Amino acid sequence: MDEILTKRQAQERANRISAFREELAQLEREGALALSEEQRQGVERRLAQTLAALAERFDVDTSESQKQISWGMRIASTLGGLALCAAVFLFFYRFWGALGTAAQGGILVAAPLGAVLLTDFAARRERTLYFASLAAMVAFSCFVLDLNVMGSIFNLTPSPHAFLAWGAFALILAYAYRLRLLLAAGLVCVGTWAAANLATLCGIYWAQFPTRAENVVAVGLILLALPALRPHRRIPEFPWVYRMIGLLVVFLAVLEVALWGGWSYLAIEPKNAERCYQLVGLAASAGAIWAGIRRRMPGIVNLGAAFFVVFLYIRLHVALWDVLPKYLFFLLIGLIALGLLAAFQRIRRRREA
Amino acid sequence: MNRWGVVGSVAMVVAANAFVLVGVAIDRSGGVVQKIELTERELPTRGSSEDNTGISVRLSWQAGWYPAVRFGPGIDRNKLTELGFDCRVAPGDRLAESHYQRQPARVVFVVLEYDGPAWQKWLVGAIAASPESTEFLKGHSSRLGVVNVGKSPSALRARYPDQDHYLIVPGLMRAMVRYEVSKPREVFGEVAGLLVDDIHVPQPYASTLAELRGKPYHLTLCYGKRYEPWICGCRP
Repeated sequence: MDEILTKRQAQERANRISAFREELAQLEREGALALSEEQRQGVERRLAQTLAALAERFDVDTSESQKQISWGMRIASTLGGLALCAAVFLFFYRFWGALGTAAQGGILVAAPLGAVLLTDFAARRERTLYFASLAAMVAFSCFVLDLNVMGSIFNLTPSPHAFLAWGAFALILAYAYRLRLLLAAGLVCVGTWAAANLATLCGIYWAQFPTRAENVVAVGLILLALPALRPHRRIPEFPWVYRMIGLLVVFLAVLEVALWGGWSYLAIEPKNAERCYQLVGLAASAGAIWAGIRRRMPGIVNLGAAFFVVFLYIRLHVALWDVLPKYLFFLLIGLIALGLLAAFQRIRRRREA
Repeated sequence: MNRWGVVGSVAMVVAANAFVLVGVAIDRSGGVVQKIELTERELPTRGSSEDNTGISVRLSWQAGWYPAVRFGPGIDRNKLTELGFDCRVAPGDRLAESHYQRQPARVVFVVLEYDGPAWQKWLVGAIAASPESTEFLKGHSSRLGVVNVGKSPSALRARYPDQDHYLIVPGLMRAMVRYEVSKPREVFGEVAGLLVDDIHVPQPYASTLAELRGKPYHLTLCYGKRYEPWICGCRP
């Protein structure tokens, strides 16, 4: 078990043991395998010891019911975190009018600091990190509230640098406590800061950075490339977050300019820019599906497939909506979906062979 | 304890807040760059509620949308070129609309005239265009409006030295093409918004405003070196 480094690897091992137990029982029932009582007890003892050690060290789910409860806990901690964030915002706004500026500032600074200490306390108390993740989300939202309200209190000119501070804060918590949700929040904030600064360099007011989609695409591509440049040996679950956020940013930016061609640097008519980016979107999403299948990354395949359908629908709508009768248009979409299903099935069979 | 996680995140919170406070101190350390007293017509309150007890006011100006009467001399193609917009495409050109729409808004300094000749002229035109709104326009609508824009606030202040009637604030300007029946197309500039138009009212002025609910009031706006405002006076 020494070679197991992460909770994910430990869970995969626990899953393999469960499957092995079930298959062993099935083979015995069918009479294909007959173990002596002594052998059965030996195997069972060994498996139970391994599972107990995995549960002790990594807190893995060792049964189907535990897995279901873990999913419930994950959903509850995410929803609970979001609800607590809303509660923090609403609580502050309900009472801040009665406070002086110094008291407002003091509360705003103290809130994220307290939540950081709470995160650390929770992380030391439980290995599953459900409560730590929840406390970290509250800390992040307190810090967002802090800078946002400080800007309002002193009537500051909006600045993109707040996104850098929020992003850095979220990334510090994410890496310190291995929290994927905070990593995603941090990457979105740092990405927004980078895209806003690129826009400023190009002479555009920073808040209008989405009006030049190519800047956003560049940021997405950098996020996508980062895991390759910096391997995460200690936290192998993080590159997945980088890739998903990077790809999502690229697809959303291309989708934006595929719908509003004026939001591009291309010095051509907006309609032509839209056509161009619709084709780019189709090619990029097909490329993501291909790369995802090759590298066995189901998340990338699913994201690529979702955007491939969106880009295909937009392209067909532009090209055929006014030309074809409506029933024929939707029939064509249905047939293309069937074709895609058949293609996926073929790929799956080929990979299984 | 994950020491670097705690230290790093605490340092980030402290550093970001210190950055904000130092910026505010620098802005206000050079004294008041401009000061103007406005009324509830130009600074209407954003209503506080049970869920948000903070009070803020919004800097309101006549954008010329309703009634559709232009305030001041307007910003023409030459002025837009001076501000850095690419105005080489003629307004009648087939590609004019997309050319001007694609140009991003630029940060400029906006001169807002308060209760001056441009407003008097605008009022006459607005009443003629919308006679049913006469009472509102005369007694309740904002008397602020854009009369000029430029890149340099000091150059604009030299041209409009009267601080009681001319306020200079940073805003966003965009270029547009105007279509009007039986008139040639025209390229013009529009102030898309002010960078800071929502102004927080701190204590004790917030309590004074709360007591004056529904009654006329006067608020004094001060601006620092970075042209960021704060409320520095309140009276009935």
